[in-house]
Amino acid sequence: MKRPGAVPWLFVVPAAALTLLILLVPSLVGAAYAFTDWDGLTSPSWVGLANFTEFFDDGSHVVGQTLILAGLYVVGVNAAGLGLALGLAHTLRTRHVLRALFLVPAVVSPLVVAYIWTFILDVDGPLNEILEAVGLGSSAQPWLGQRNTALAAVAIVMVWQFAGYHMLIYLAGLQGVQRELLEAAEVDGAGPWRRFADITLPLLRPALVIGTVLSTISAFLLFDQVMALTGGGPSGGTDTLGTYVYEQTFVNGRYGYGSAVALLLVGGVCLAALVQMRLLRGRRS
Amino acid sequence: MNIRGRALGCAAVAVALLAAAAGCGADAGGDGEIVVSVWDDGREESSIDVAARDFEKAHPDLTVTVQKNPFDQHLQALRRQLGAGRAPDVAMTVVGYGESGTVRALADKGLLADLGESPWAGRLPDTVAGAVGDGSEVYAFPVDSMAIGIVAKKGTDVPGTYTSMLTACRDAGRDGKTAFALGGHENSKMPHIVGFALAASTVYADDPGYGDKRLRDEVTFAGSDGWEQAVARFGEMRDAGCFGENAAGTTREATARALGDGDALMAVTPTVTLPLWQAAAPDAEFVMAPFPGDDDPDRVLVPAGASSGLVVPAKASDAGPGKQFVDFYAKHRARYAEIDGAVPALPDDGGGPRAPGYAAALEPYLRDGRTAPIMDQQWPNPELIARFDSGLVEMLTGRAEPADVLESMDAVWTSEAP
Amino acid sequence: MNRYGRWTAFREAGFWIAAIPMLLPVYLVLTTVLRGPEARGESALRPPGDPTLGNMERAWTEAGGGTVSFSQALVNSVLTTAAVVAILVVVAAPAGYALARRGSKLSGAVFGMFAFALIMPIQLGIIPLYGFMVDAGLTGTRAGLILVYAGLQMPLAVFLYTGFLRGLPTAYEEAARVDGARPLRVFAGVVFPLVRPVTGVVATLTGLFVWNDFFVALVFVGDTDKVTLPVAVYSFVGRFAAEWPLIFAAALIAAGPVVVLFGFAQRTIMKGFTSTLHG
Repeated sequence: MKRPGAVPWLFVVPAAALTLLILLVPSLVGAAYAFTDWDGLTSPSWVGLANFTEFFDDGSHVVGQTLILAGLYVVGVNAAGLGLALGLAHTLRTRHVLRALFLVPAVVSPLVVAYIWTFILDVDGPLNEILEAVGLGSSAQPWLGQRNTALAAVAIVMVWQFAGYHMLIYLAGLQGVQRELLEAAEVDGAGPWRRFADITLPLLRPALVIGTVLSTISAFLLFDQVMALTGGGPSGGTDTLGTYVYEQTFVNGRYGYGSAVALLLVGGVCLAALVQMRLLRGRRS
Repeated sequence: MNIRGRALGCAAVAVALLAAAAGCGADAGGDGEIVVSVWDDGREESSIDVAARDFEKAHPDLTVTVQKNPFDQHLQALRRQLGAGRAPDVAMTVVGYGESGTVRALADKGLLADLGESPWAGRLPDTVAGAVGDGSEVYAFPVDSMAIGIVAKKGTDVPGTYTSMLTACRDAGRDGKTAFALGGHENSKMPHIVGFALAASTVYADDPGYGDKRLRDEVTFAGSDGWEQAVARFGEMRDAGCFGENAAGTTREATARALGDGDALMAVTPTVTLPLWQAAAPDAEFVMAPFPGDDDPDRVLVPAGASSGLVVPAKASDAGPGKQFVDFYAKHRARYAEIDGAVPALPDDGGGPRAPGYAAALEPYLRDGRTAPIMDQQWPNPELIARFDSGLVEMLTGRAEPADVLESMDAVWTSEAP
Repeated sequence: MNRYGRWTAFREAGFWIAAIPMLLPVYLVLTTVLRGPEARGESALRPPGDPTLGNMERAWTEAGGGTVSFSQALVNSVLTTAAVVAILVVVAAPAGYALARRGSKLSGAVFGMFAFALIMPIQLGIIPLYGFMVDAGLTGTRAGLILVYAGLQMPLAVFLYTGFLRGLPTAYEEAARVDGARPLRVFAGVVFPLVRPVTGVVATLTGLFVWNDFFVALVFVGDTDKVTLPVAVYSFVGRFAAEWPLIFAAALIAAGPVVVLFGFAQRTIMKGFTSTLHG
């Protein structure tokens, strides 16, 4: 039944066309290559599931590393963002300036952020210098050369960069927490933690969903920062699915194999996003 | 026609146009234009730029366009262009195997024009022939050459034997310095250079043809005593404190700073990287010396060979102009090498120097053929060099044994480029 | 709760202290950039004794060897970003409107398509896309680059507009329609002004992406004079050495306009985020 004046499909056509042309169709073609041994240069030949079995044999350590990084980042950036938002929501006199300061890293290119931090974390860089200056010289170490510290460093750099962005999300979410509710609760004798847990947190649910889903997607696709900070090292210890796909596809020229892993990546992101949304949406509609 | 019909009509036209455009693949460059794709070596005027202008003067009906890619990305960009049908007429690339997009990797896939008829193709020395072709065919004009050795500030006491090197490492450690600056960071791509320097005097001193045998799958790394010894010696150097404590997390820049500041005494490096060391200490004078891979001076070999080359992609259209440019460049190579401050890979018949001035100590080795190949030029799978670097870094942190490193390399060996 | 007591002052000071590690890297960038080559060996923590703008000048005019100068890259970045944002707003807003108002299963499916496209990693399709663009003769052109960016960011833009519009009461539109206005008129006159907050968010997020993106620009215009700022920054990471003072100077040039713009527009952007979130 067509109502006169209903919004015509034409309105959607340009957007859909661009999306299909630039993103979806090429991705579909790329996905098809996942079942071949394409090298980007010569004709591909079908290899069925061989790429996938190869990944499960050789590359599965990358999945674990991606999950670790994702876990560190998602928790870190949302906790930091929420903390900043809670603290800078009202009252403080310089809150607008502070908010802007915390947002500065978010507007800088991830490549540049990684360069800056590589410089800071280098063996003779400012971090080790500071440690030595305050007498903690024994803690000075090759941060980017050891797997555990390198993983932590990547997570910290990413949290540093995007905490302000998540602060924005939670600030927006907090606008929906009516002051009256909180004041009424205070009058009723509820302490600050009770007020937070029972009133604020539930009302922040939409913001929490957005924050965790966005950070999860970022973490799974993580590429720029890892590439520049550690190159996936030491010895592949900080390789993520994103860097692994890049290395196999572009550096080694194995487009077929790389596409297979990229497909797995897409699947993983979908799954993670869906799971999170289900968990966080909860029983409330 | 209603709005919906009109919309569909527009969409149909657009799709048709795109399909028509898709039918004609556009190669880069057209009539009268030669496109040369090179990497950016940090200079505004490289020899290719000069050659382009000279060529245009000599052929007024042709123009030469030089396209520069960031160095790290050049091979990838070249592959993309070749794969999409947007090949340049001439491209600079790396000779041999070792990465994807190198001369032999591309030649194996039939993507390069045969340059065997060129005037310079007849006088390729054996050491170079295998890197720019498969021994019988020629696919690249070798431009620059390089050799691996020790770089240090002039006046440094560079050890002459393997054992005295270990002693020097210990002495340096006692003085609070590091003997060899080593960048173990994944992006620095330095550890394998030390590995090559060691392997030259163990593997290739006994078996100069090892590389060819490996290509034919007649031998393995783990089964080679020479490779086992080379990697074991890396461990010995580590134990003698040659690389210092924090090598694993050191970036290339930090290595240069350490050498420049005097915190490190030497570094193992290819000749072409001098600008890196010079940049960190502009007022210092650096020299290079051979790496003493063994105590027996007869066994010490210098890894050396051609490094870069010019190729002509084999395209549907004419490869003629590209070949013209390459031959022109080859004819004037001596002059262009001076502009670049590099040593041409094809030595003049007059016997010019084989090593740049600061590496004069390497000259006798190069002249007398006491060289080993640059090993990864015979490694078709790019994954291999990553494994070698990783393995050596794991050895630095004590988490791997020589056998582990070599086995991980054998595990990814292929005798063809992927 | 709004009282500004001693505890609050404490908190304020606390946040300023927390801001120090946030900004320490910025300080280090500044000291490195302003340090002349003679003071090379100095610790980055020490402010340069003799600050110089030489590095900024070199970065501005040179870039690394063969790539274009920064002034050119800046122009490229501005043009590309502005064009992409304009296209996105003009194309995604009507799409969001249609998807939000048409409640059919088909519109739900189309919306699902956009949502799915949101998580596509770029590596999957970029090589086939490069092939298409070569065939269409659009590689190495600014138009081609703009088209690619617009396509890549379209799902996000449509997603935001649709989400917001679904929550927008239809009273004004109905009124306009009753008056006999055609859909385009309704959209342009009534709906578009109402979605201004989302437009702000879309412009901010997508503009930031395009401004800071390195990989797509490298692939599609990497060896031409249409390169954007991030590629120009990368050109200083050369074959042999990373010249940090130049790289950081370049980074300042690249990040400067955004930070400044952001400083001015901060409150508007935040309001936009709030409205979008609650839509």
